[in-house]
Amino acid sequence: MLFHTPEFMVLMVISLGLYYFLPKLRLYILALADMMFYAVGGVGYLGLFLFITTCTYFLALQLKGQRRQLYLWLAIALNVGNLVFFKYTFFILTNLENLTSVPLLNQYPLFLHLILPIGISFYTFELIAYLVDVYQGKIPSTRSWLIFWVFISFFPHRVAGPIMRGKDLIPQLGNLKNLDVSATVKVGLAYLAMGLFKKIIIADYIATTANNFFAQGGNLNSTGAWIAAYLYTFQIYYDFSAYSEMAVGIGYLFGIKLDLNFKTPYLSSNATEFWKRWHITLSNWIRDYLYIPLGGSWHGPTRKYLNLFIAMAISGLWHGAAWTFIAWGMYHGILLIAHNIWAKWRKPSLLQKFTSTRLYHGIAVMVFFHLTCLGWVFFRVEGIHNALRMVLKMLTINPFNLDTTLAGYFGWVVFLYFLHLAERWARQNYLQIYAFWQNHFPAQLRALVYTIFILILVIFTQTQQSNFIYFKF
Amino acid sequence: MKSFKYVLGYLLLIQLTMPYLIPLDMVFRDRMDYSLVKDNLYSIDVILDQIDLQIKREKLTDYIIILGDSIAYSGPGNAKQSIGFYMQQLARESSPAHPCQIFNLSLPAMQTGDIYTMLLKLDQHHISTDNVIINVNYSGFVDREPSPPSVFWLKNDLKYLDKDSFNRVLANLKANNYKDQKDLEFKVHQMVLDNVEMDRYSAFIKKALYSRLRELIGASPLDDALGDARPWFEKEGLRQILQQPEYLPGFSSKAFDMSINNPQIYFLDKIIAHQQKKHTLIFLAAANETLMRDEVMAPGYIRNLQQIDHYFQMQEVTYLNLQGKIDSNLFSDHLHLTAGGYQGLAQLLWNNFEGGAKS
Repeated sequence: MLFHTPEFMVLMVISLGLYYFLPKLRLYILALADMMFYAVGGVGYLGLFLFITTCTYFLALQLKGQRRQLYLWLAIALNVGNLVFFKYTFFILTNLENLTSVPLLNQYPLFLHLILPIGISFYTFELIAYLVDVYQGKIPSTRSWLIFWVFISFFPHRVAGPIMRGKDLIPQLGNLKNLDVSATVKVGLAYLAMGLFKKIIIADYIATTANNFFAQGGNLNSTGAWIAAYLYTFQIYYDFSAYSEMAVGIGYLFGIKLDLNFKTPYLSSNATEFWKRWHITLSNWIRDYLYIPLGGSWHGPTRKYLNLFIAMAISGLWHGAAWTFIAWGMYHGILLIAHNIWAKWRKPSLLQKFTSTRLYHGIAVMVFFHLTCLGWVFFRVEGIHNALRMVLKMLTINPFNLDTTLAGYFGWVVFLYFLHLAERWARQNYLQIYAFWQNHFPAQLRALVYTIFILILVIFTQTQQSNFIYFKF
Repeated sequence: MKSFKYVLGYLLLIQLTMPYLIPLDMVFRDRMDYSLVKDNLYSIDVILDQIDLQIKREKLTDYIIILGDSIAYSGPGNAKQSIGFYMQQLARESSPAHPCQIFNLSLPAMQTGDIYTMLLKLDQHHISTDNVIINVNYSGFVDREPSPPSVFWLKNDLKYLDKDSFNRVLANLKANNYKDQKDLEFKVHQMVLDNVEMDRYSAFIKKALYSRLRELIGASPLDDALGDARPWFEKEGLRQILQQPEYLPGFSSKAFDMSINNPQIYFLDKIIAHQQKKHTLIFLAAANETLMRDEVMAPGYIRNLQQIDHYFQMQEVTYLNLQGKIDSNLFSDHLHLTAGGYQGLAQLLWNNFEGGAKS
């Protein structure tokens, strides 16, 4: 069920009403609401989700004794096995088929019809993080199954994150009865409104144009390819950050703080900074549960670079069972390695002074933004050859021979970038903006603006409901 | 949270006043807006509500409802080339002071199952069905194998308005990939969204804003034509296209099943029962006799046409078989007409409806 659909809004309002008026039953209400929201996607998948969560819960309780390592690996194998079975079996068999010429898929037609359970990639990572944290003694295993269930299944974040950690969410769930929910309602509504605006007014409209460009496939010229990549770059940001902000907003409406996933990432000047601003909870997970266990930077630079590359390739694979996603991950791995080498190399050089200037920063942001756009081509285009062909077109553009019929789209791209800058300014100054808004405008006028905002959202919601891009992961 | 109370107040105000502030021509102009309705079938109810309001506001007693498929809708031309538009002109000429109002509620691909459901919806919206013109097609009688579905658009409405009829055709609908609407989705819509005026009118407001914006920037006005309305003989390769498997079954010369086992007959019986003692004209659309000569002149086709004529002769409705009554030069393809063709058709329907003739 999509956040921006009326059906979701109705069920959320009912859940919220019960949650506010029956504080003693909050945990039960959330547990039930989570089951309902998940069941809409398929009762069978709810059963699977309950089974995996319950098994992980019991196995986590065994992470204290002598055989704790065995239980840890058993629990990780269960979770990874579940993910691999549903998400990667088809991919693995297809590649084995290509490699061996044995028609495996015909022999096992079941795998042709597997449907990816909603949010499986996200809940798998969350469960693994919990297991490792308990094993390493960072958090105690929770004794309450109900708290554990709500921690994993809390519906605002279940479908596409943020990927929460036990240390952040479980203590909040243990104290639901005493939460002063009214204190976080305003901030919750603000995030929800921002998310809805980004999804309905920006992302869905960019999507229509971007899809038209990508539908031209090989017929796109170099200028068109760049426009398509720019548009998708903004579409995926506004779409995914919209979801994340709606999740955070809904969390706050229930008095629960969820982590933010984005900090205006297209203002990053390098790959390292980008991954601190883009899908933050995933990149933190990759760092803590992949990169560091692989050895991190402890075994010298070569090993560090290899670890970075492997971690990012796996991150790409996590996004989707296709070579294009792996290529996207590897591409970002290379960008991270390149930045690490550049940062090391420039230290003693004369360039150091220049690299601390605003001019250098501005150039670096623009260069990295374009590198990011190139990367998104692998994310969007189906088939590695098609993606490479499009990237090649983009790299061989002749700046003196641009398709001027597409000039108007460049204007839109610049406008979208300014929106990104405006978002950063608003985030940095939200306290002053809020105070100004509250102090200088009477309640009637503020209410009128809120009403017009609601009206705009309702009017401009696309008739054909569009999914969030990250829902398919 | 002081402003919250005001927001509720403003929203309530919008809720109470919106249907009265929206003019009918924002939701309905000569015919339903296909591009808008096809993506959001709930908008049909908004159109019907607005027509009902207009009827009450202007105390209308003399109005005609037109129901049918793309012929009555008057594709591929635009709304100003449609039979609804031309009949409205005729009505104005006939009685300038109090012209009869024409409401063309046809949609491309409407089947008789949709037309029957539409009649039930009109009852639901308190719109009189005393004067109705209905368009049927030869292809509607052809055995469905399983396409097209016996109800194309209004399956979910039929489910709740006439469960027995819905169950009767459910197997055919399922064979055409119909997925039963989830009860939760329907209930949420029925209980909440169908009552939130802001949401109901949103698509129409958006379209009106878009049109206004085009006007402001000097762009050409939106045209609701669905395709090329030029005469068929100006279109190259049309004959070859029409020989493709998707078109030929509509001209099948296989003997029709004229019992109620044929969904067409089942729904026609239902329609005729619904229209008892009312003024109803059913017209059978013509096929282009020059372009489709081989098909239309086939003995089986002619026999089937006679069967249809015979069926309607037995019923208490005014029936008009248009086959052979429209000049081939006025067709834009095998079935649809040019603007001139629709103007002629409008005249024909107007004369026959006013006269109540049975031909």
